[in-house]
Amino acid sequence: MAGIDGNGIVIEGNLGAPAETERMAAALIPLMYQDLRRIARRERARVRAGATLQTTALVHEAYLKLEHLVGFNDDEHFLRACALAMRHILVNHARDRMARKRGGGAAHVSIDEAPEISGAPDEVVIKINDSLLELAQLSPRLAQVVECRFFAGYDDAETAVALGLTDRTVRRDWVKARAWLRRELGAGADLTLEEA
Amino acid sequence: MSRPAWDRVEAALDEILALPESEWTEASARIAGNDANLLAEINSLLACTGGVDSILDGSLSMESPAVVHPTGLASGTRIGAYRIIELIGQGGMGEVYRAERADGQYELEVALKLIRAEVVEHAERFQAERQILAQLDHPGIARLLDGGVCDDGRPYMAIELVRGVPITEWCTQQRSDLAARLRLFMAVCDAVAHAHGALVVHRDIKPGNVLVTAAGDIKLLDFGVAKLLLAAPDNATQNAPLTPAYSAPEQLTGRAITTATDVYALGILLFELLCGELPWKSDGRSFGIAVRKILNETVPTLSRRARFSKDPPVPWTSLRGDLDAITAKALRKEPGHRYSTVAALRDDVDRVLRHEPVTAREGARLYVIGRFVRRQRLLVAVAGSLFAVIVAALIGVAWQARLAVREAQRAEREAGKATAVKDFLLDIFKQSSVRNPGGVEAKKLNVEQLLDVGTTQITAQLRNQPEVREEVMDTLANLNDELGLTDRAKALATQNLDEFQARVGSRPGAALARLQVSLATALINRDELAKARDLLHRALEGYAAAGKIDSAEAAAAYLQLGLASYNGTTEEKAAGVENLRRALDILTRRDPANPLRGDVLSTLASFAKLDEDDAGATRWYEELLAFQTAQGVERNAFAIGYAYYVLGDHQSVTHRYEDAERNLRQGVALLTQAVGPQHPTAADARARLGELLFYMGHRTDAAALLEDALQAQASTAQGIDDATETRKTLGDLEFTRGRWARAEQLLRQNLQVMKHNPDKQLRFNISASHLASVLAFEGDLAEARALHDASLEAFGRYMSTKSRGYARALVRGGNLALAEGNPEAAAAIFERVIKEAGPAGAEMSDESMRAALGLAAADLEQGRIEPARQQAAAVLQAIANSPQRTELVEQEAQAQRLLGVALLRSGDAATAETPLRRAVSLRESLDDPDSPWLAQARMDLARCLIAQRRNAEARGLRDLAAAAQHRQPKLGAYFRRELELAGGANGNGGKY
Repeated sequence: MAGIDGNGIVIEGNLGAPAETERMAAALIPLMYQDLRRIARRERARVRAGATLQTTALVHEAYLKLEHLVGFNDDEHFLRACALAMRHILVNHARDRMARKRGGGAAHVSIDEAPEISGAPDEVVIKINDSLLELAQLSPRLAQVVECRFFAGYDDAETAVALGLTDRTVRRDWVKARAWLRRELGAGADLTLEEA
Repeated sequence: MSRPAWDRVEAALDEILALPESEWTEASARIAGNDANLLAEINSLLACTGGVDSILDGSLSMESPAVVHPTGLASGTRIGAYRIIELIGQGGMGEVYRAERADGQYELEVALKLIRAEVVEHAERFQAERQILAQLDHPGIARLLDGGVCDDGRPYMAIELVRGVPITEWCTQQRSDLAARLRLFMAVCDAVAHAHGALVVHRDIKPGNVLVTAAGDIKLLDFGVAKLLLAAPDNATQNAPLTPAYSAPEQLTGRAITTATDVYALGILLFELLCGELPWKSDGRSFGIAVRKILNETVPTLSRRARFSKDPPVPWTSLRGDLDAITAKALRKEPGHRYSTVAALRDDVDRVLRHEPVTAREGARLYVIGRFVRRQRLLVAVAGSLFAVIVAALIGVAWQARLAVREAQRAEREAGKATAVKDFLLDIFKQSSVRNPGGVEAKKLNVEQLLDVGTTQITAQLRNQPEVREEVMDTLANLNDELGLTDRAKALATQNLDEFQARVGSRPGAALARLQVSLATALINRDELAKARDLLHRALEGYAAAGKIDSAEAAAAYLQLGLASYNGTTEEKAAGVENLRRALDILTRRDPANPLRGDVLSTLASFAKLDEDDAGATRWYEELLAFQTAQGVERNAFAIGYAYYVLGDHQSVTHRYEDAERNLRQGVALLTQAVGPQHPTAADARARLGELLFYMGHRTDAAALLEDALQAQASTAQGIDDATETRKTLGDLEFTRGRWARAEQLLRQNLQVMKHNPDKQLRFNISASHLASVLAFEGDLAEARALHDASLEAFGRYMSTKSRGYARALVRGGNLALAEGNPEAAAAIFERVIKEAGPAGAEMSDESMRAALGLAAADLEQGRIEPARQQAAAVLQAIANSPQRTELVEQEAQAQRLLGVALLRSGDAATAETPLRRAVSLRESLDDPDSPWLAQARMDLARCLIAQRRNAEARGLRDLAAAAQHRQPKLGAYFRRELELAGGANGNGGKY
């Protein structure tokens, strides 16, 4: 697994994104991590009901920062890179927390700063990621749709822009991909959240 | 599983999922056929479709596991002096409760806002700013009453409780009309202005924060709260709003938030109030797309939006014009370009209500230059006090042109840098002006010197800032271009390009392309077209490589490529038009308000003219006019005026004189308003209008305009060419009016100016030919003959001897022969012209009419009265039949006179009187009071009266004629005879 040190980030498990997207995602990750920490601090006293920080907020922040510096020609490129980066961040995060829970491994993010990824237990996030790598072998596009919708939190329209597809195709792909994931994660796997 | 296998599975799923669920089993069996594996795969996946699970379908969110607060304080909880009644809302900052004073002191309900501790970084600052807010005492602002810190450490604020609905909802419920909405809006402005007076910026003005009570009063909420709480140093991301709909560009890019930010938000609010929609609709799409629209796209026109929306609250026609301009001004990207105060915005809205002109539409000094093919002269000689304005305008011109190209790309960043560069240049120019001492030389704007100084300084000062330097040099190159200093422009652009390539390399890209286009522009203006075309093709490749082929910058390249073909073959010109159309298409789609679009339209019109497609040219000119008008008059008076000018100009050459006059007058008015009467383009427009009025017969007005224009044009080095044109027209006019001395003076001046200029030989000879006519009547026959012969020979070289211009020159030669006392030679010339110009039938061409009149005069000289009478009568008939009657007044005057003289000499004085009286009255309307031709006509009428023994009536006429003769400085012997009573039996009088 790659370390998050701002340099030489290797993104594990390319789901078929072009090299340029990977490079951009690699540049985004440290930026987003900074924001993640800041947001976490800011959100610390947030009341549970109502306002939770969506992953899209992270994307927004990164966007503004980069737009300021670089300027984008097209959303597609950026959105794809962000989705890739988000997946990377979230999966690593989950792994870190699991490692810490087991008492081992270096903690890259200190415990009081690490927000929990609610909406999915850490193990599930990791499992979904692993399955995704497999799905990518069969159909990179389906895997990318999952990356966009699930990890980056894009809606159908944004996913369509990011991947250069139509909304309709995205919806159809999502149905298929989700079916596949559910099957992979085990017929008995409980994919519904308990009430918090 | 292999990929191809999976593809089969996917295809199967696609087909099956499109069917109703009841048919799935049958369909899977059918599709899988004998393939048991495939069937199993399909079925197992189908079993996992349907339904929603909260993990995969929810989005991941992040929460802090640490401090968890209860969902709300219980009713009755004490916070400071207040007791909580109930939770009424959940804001971004924290919870909001309805509370009352616990000590029962006042019957006061408040809104108690609890603020999340993390958001407030510095407690003392919070205190201080809270006190400032507490002092905001205005009926339109929800009053901050109290504040403190809860037991659990959270700060709270007690705010006047407002019961009301958001302003937009209120107006919908009340079905408020335009006036009511505007008045409400003004009340909001008053509240905001009050706060600005206390140096508090709201930063979050939106309908949710602008409530209207049951009584119809507005109340602003959350005032300055945003500023108080987010005191953290890193503004960019802290202030990043999650819904950018109401955010000003500077809020999105992390720049300074000022009162102008509130102006912007008020602009959005006004927009929404008046047409029911927000200016930028994100359609729920990507945040990034929404942000980019706000940063880059021009604000849509309010009335247009209302027009095409489904259910506008106010009819779009009442929004057109003033309110369009007001919203546009409030919503400018650059804070500095908006209303500088909220009070100014409010006042303009008030003016709409009172039907007074709004400031948002006033003409301003900055303008955008449109381009004729090949004509862009900007240099103005100016008296000292106008200097700074002109220089600023010069910079503004190049500025607008560049910003226009840039606007589609990274607007904020470029504009910021561009402003810095502009200030730098302006500084240099201001300094230089101080160095210029007073005196006549200094009164001529010596921009060449200034630009020299500027360039030297830049080279020195910006050595270490290559990017800024590149920018500045590009601007200077453009400025030089605009000023017609094309060799400098070329040198600068070349240098810039070379330096860029040395610094960055030659890989095709957008930055390189931009510089290539700049250089190509300079080259085109110097007629180095092949090199320019090559550069432009490479630039377009560069834009394509950078993925920017569909951008305003690339459109600029297409425009230049089109321009570069203006003197090519028909095929080349057609290809040029294709490029222009490409440019137009790009701009219309991507950046419809870009001033470059005006350039493209006027160039397309010019090409249509070259192609002699008058109708096409008119259509382009009209589209240009519509485009410029749509941009609003505020900063665009010049461009609109220019559009009227070129449209009118075109109409005048296609003989639609009334339309032409109307449009030229409009053009002159707007241009003068925009840049003052001294500006070359304003002067040109006046000259053009004067010329038109001349042809329409309004000679006095024409002369005034032409003299005025000439004075402006002649005072600049660059205006010389225009001045010679004007002088020639004016010379013609004065000659025709009978002010021969002035005509001689003007035409001689022209000869002087053009004598040694090889490029101007044709024009020189035209002036020479006209001068010859004047001299002939004044009596300088030798010089007249020399000039005429020389110019006629030159004409023979330049133009076909069958052309109209040549025919006119021949006619002038015929009149010269008359003046020399050689009517036979004159008659021969006239006959030749008539033969070649076409038969003198019912419809006569202009030239054949002139020749016919000359022939009549020659006939009279030779005593051939009856043919003369017939000629004169034929001309009068042709005039009566002509659709252009009103332009033939001069010809009619001559013809009437000749007819009358012929009748008189054949002994029929009584019949002669009518045409002679007509001649006199026409002359009186056409000519200067001292005109010899008027005098001549009067003398002829006098003789007619005397022949009828009405000497007393004749006396007055004779006196007038005699007076005129005395006042004429030079009068040839031939003409002088006319004015003596005994003489005048002769015919002479052809003028041309």
